[in-house]
Amino acid sequence: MWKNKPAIVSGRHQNPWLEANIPLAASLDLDIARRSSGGGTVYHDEGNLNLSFLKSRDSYNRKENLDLVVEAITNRWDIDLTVNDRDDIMLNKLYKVSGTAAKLGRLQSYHHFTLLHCVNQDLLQRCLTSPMQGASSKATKSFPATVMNLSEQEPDITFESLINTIGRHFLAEVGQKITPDNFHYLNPLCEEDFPGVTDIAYKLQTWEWRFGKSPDFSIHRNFTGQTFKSRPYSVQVNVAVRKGALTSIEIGVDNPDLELLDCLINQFCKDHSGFLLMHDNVKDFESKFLYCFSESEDGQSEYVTEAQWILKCIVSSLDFL
Amino acid sequence: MQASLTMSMRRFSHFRWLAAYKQTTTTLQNIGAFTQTEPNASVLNGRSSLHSLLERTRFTSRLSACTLSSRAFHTSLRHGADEVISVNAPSFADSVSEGDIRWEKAVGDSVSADELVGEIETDKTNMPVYAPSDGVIEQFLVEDGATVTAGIPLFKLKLGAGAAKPAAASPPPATETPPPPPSSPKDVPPTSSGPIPSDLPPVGAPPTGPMASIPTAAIKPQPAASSSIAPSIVGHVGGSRSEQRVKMNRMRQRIAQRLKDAQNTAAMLTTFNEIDMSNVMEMRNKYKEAFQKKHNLKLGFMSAFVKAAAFALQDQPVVNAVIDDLEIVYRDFIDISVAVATPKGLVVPVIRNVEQMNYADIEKTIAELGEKARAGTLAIEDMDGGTFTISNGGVFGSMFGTPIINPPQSAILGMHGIFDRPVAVSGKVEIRPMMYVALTYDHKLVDGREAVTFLRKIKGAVEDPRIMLLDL
Repeated sequence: MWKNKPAIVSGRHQNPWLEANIPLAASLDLDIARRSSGGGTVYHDEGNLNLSFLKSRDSYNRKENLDLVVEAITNRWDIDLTVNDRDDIMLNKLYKVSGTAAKLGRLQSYHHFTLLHCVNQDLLQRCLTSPMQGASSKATKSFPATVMNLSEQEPDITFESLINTIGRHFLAEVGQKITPDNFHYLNPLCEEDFPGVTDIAYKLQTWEWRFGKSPDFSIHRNFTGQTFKSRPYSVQVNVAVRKGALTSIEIGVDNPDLELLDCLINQFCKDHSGFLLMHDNVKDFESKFLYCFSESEDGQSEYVTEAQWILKCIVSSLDFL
Repeated sequence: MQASLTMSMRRFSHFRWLAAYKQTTTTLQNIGAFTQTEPNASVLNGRSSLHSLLERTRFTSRLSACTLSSRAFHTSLRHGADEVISVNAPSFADSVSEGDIRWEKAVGDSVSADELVGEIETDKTNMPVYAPSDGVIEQFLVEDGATVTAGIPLFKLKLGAGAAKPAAASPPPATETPPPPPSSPKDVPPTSSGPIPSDLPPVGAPPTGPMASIPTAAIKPQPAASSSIAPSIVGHVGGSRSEQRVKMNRMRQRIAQRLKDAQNTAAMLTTFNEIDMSNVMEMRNKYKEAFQKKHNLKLGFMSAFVKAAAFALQDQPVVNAVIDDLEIVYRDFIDISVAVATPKGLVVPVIRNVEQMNYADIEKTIAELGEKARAGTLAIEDMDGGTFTISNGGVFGSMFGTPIINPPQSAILGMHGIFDRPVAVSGKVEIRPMMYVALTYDHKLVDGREAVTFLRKIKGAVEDPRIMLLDL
């Protein structure tokens, strides 16, 4: 059983940009993480209890774990907790207080789930609303639900009381009482106790794992409202992302007078795409673009404005970073 | 030797049958299970029936490396190099029927036996798909992200370790393109050697369109045609300053209207009292299991309050009445509206003729209405009428508060949270679970004395339900 400092955790095959508000998280200094199990994106803070049931592949049984925890809690406190058919734990049959995910290996398995007892709900809602528009991807989608904290129903429920209640119940199932041997804190990053964990921790913190593992996706945006030589036109931006890298940017301008500019910008984009989808890279791209499409000796100023508008369109398509 | 040969024959007969059966392609179940060493591991998830024959023997899934076999079997076992086999999806856990496949490797990648080729995500669980033996991935039979069911063919593997260097997580091709340091661009043959080209990149026949310059500083970032809702952050000092306009939904508009109407018509004021909940809680603990067994319902607090309110309304009928123009309308039925919070907003369904009900009837009706509220099937008739309302702010932890009357009624009872407090009982200080209750009433109709008496009656009836039986 564990808790962590505020973080947004996405499932193994999800696209964090599409599931969460990454700019907001960055501004609030929240961690963005990806787990190895499936399922949707969740928000953790210290008001959330995480439970991981590590069992052999043969003993894998989600309902059993969930029922155990529900039983432990309802035996002690008088609240209405049930497990629904999506393996969520529901409070008053209305509010979700827990989400589940699991991973099967060859010989082992784990099933872990959250338990919201005192989480910052406002932050949760804001973090899990992505500002991304125009994206199409085959990444796993999250399933939004209305949540509630257990402590709202029963103020006595805290991290301490939960781990004690659940721990006692878990041990009672095998006829044991809580002793310092079978119920104690441990340090999950201790390399001696858990050889190999340092490498795993390192890998989980790389950008490649957290963002690069997103399934391929593309963005299509359409921007209107500009005119050129008193003729309104629109700009289409198509961006393709593979393994966290922007593999192509294509624009389309539907004004024949700007065809040349269209060609030039597309060529520029072809030459300068292929970078990882990070802020700094986008800023870099921007500054190169501005440099290239700026004045020259016998300048024709009219194109500059349009080029810069198109750049704004491109950057705006990537404003979810 | 002879004995072991016979044993081996029996064990491998399945293989031999397979070998004889195959033509150019053979179908194998995902046989990652071969590495299980536990002798009594159950046959899980339809892993191949081969496993049950081989449970006591340790096999790698390299079909050719069967060290227990004799030479004759060895030959028949080894599939020829370059043979292409089709690998199926394993069966799924949790009685789920389908999932999405995510490929970790790409076509042309070299894989070794038991290496992870992809993952199937079913219902929030990730399951691995392993390569049954060394080889090269020839073709994916389903594309990345597609839905798969158990047992369907997933990919074609061309056997033979010699296809290329054994792949130890060969980096997927796309990572060639972005180098980790963000600043250097993909190299562009015709132009720049340095990071920023000194002049425009030559891009083909038309001469580069020269443009006048605008200093970069003069360009202010503006939102694009589609307005973005997320606050803009990077590079800004200080918080976001954008607003977000969301239209009020119908329910909200109506609630706003009614609340204001209530305030404008009624001369509202609130009287308070506190209730010692220990008796109710004791009664509940004593009878809740029997109640659950007989009525299949949870015994809550609402029934106690609803019944007490009905009792008090019979005692003070003016609280159950309403002003209509210049007349006072007294009603001999008691319909109590109970406020229920749903994710969509507050709804107030009505329990009709409470004066005839007992605790069980009340609980049953509340449960039914609650179900309908959750399912969203509450009809207008269910929410219409009502002569008195009870609202429970206690579920959210409120201690004290003034509810607003639900028009066209004349009064509303607000329940609050139950908290342990020290109170004086028979001259001594004791800790009791106490609840503050509030009665907001329309002074145009109900006078102070009646309101206070009414509330005290509720207090009495909740603290000791016997007075209802004795009609005290």
